Amino acid sequence: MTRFLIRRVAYSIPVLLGVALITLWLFHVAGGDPVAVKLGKNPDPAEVEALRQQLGLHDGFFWQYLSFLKQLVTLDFGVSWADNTPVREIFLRGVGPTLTVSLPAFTLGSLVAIALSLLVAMKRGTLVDRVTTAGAIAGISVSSLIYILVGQWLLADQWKLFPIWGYEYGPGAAYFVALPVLIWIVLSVGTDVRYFRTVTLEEIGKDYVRTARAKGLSETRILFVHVLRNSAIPIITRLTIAIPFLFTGSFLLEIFFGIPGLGSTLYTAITNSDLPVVKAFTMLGAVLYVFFNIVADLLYALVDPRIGLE
Amino acid sequence: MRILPLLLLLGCNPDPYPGEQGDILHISLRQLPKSMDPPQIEDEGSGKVSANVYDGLLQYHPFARPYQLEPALAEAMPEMAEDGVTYTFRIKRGVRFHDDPCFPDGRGRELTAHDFVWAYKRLAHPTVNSRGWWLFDGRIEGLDAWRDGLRDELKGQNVDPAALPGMDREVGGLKALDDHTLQIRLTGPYPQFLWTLAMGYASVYPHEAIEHYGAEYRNHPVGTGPFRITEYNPVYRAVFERNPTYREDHVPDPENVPSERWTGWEQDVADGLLVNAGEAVPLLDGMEMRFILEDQPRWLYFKNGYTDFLNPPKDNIAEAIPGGELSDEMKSRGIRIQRWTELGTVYACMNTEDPLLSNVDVRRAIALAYDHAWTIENLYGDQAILAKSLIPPGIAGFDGDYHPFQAEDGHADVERAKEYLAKAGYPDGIDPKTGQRLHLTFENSGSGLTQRQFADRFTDEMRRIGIDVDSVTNTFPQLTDKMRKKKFQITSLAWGFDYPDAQNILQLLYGPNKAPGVGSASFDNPEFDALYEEAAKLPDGPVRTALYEEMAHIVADQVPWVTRVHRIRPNLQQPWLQGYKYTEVSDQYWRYVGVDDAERDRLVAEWNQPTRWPLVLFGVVCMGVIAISVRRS
Repeated sequence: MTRFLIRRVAYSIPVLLGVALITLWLFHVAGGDPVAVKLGKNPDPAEVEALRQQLGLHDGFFWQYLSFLKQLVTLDFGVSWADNTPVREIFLRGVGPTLTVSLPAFTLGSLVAIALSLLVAMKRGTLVDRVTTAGAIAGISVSSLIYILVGQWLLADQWKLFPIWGYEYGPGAAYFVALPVLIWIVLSVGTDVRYFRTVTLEEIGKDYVRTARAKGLSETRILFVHVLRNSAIPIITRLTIAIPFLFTGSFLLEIFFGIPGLGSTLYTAITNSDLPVVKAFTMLGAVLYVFFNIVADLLYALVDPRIGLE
Repeated sequence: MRILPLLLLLGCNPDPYPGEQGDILHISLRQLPKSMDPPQIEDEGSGKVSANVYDGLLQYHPFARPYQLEPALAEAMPEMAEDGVTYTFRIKRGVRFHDDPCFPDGRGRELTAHDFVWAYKRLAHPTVNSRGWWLFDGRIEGLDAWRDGLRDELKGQNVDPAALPGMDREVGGLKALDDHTLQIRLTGPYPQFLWTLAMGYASVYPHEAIEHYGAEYRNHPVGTGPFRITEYNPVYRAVFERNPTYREDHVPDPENVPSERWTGWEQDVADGLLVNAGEAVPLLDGMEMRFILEDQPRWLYFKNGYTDFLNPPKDNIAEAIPGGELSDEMKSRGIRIQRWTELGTVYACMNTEDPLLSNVDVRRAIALAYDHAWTIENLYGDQAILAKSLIPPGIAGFDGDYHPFQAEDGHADVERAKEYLAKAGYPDGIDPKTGQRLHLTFENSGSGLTQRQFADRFTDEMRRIGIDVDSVTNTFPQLTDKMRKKKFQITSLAWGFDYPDAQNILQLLYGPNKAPGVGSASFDNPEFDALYEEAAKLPDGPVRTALYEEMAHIVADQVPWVTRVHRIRPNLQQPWLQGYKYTEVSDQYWRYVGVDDAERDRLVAEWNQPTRWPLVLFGVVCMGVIAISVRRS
């Protein structure tokens, strides 16, 4: 396993270097002028030049890339070009609110999706299956923005069941994140149910299920003990790969509901050409993605002994 | 099913200010503030958050229109010496900075004239990267030399901006004659100088705060204003409390104190704006500003009573003020409206150094092809007026009668536009050299629906005169970059005045300011420049107004810009809000505003009764499904 881990980590390094290269290149091509963001609408030309020098914008691309790699290794991405806040502080400020929404939404959403997919797989071809599948397809077909707009308007404005917008740090957060969590669940369940249903149905058609039925096992036991375990690999893959996105959050939900998290911060940084923040968040996403891919591989071996790590 | 108890537990209470006490003003901002450090306060968000934390020498009168300045931390308006360039300010005594840990005993010390000298020098300091340097650039005797000298000395050094080397060196034009007398000597006449002293950049703050907080000062402002900040999250909200050591100040009382009257005060009294006349300010116990970037939640917040006033977003104007009148729903709730035409102009900016657009007749053809009236009706929802001059109405220099390349009714004049295109050498929009239709690239700022609608409309208008248009989407920094490098043809921009003087917008067309400076059109007209330089020396008066008019006529003739509209800002106010006369020029008026908190509590509770039947229905359905499942199994 150690050799496996070393090999996977070694494979990840070129991926991360590539992500860093593409991020920097994209910023050069389409990033705009960060000096305009820092110095405002009436900049002094001498100050523009001095600031360009200070930000390293006159350095060649290769040197800027090396400097980026140094930041990556030291985990010090400097300060935001928009407001001089240290990037580390921006991240720490946003990660709590983001996870307050994304973690419960992801956990509850996944549980609901797995339960529903098992139910419809069990009731395949019945009204329950058809209604759930049709509902899932209809759900997927509607833009997430519509869910957010309608959810906020109906549940918060018209029915007054939730706050329209806002956030509190600490336990009070539950009060404010209930509606965004609910909308996230509704948004994610449709896609997940479709996927998990397909995976489960594939297993249900296999010989071992027929054998289990012939032995007289209950449908519940067959589903939750045998089918679910054998469907675990694709389910684990899907869920594990989704985990990095819990950190970047849903910027739409965060912006519409006033969650001061990482998603809305990244969105603002991109529109402000705030390269230090964009670089840090992109690399964070890449590192998490690589890390959870490795975790998924380890989990495969855990749930299916036939899979070796060599 | 496990979601049900969560819903029942958390639902049914929409109040976004749980546990709040006292008379608190609730405000929503549509932009995130970037900094509360005065040299960096340029954007709308930063300005609004900081405006009541700081004070400067002068401020705008909260009710007088046209705008007039009045003393803030100055005891009176300044004395000007006979040389016309030396101003002497007497500073109010007994004014204290906010109590703050930056002071040795945590108690704010007394403000002195030396604080202004220090703050103005910091605005100019080369390591501060001030956004407001243009205020004093070339204006104060010795300040440029001081700044340039420091820059040369510090070149190549990595200096901590909080260290501020060189601040002890004197600047001839900035002197504290004693603790309460400040003298500023200008390099020459600068008629707009006093206006600039009412801007956020010219606020005063203690050197102890910069020494204590360093770069973090942007989040820990310390001023002399009526409120101080108790909680600040730059991506969520700012919470303020009343400054208990605020200087003596009160709401003007024109009915009882004749010396406090202004033109039109009777109307303000009749409009109920002076219900708190004579009372000490601030009237509020505190303020809470929430940074709500999206239109829908900002609008719903106001509708439900969670903010005390709002300029309704474009897409909600039809709901709030259909046909220009307050809706019945708004009226039934006691909501009031004030209308204000912005002190600014929306315009299309053309790069006059572009090979095609350097031809003045092409620019004239484009101007004539614009259908402003259609845009006002359909894209602004009638909440804009036609900009017949780049100078807005109400500002000296406005002349609504001279607009040779704009139809009187604001509609397009396609036939004339085609004539000018032919005169330019492109009959029917065909370039005789290539035999192809002319091609323009329109640089759009932002990718939102509104921006796309404007770009689509422009494409259609140009197609009618035979010009093809490509629309390119940019972030604002991308667009700024292109304008600075003159790598654009045409874009849509808006200018909001920093102070109510036409010079503030005319400077954008002054030749020496052309790109990479602020003059993105790169307009270079010697006649215009000569008039600008002449006007720059003159105080407000008929002679200067005539020069402004002449400059505006040149712009209308030469069309580096197509002036489009001045937007109308309808301001909706909740019934419990008191004494609020809306303006966009200054944000300091919140200190003169009050709220009837009991009335707000009553109405907000009345408006926000939860509808419980959906929860009951949801519960019944869930129970039914469970019951059926249990029976079947």
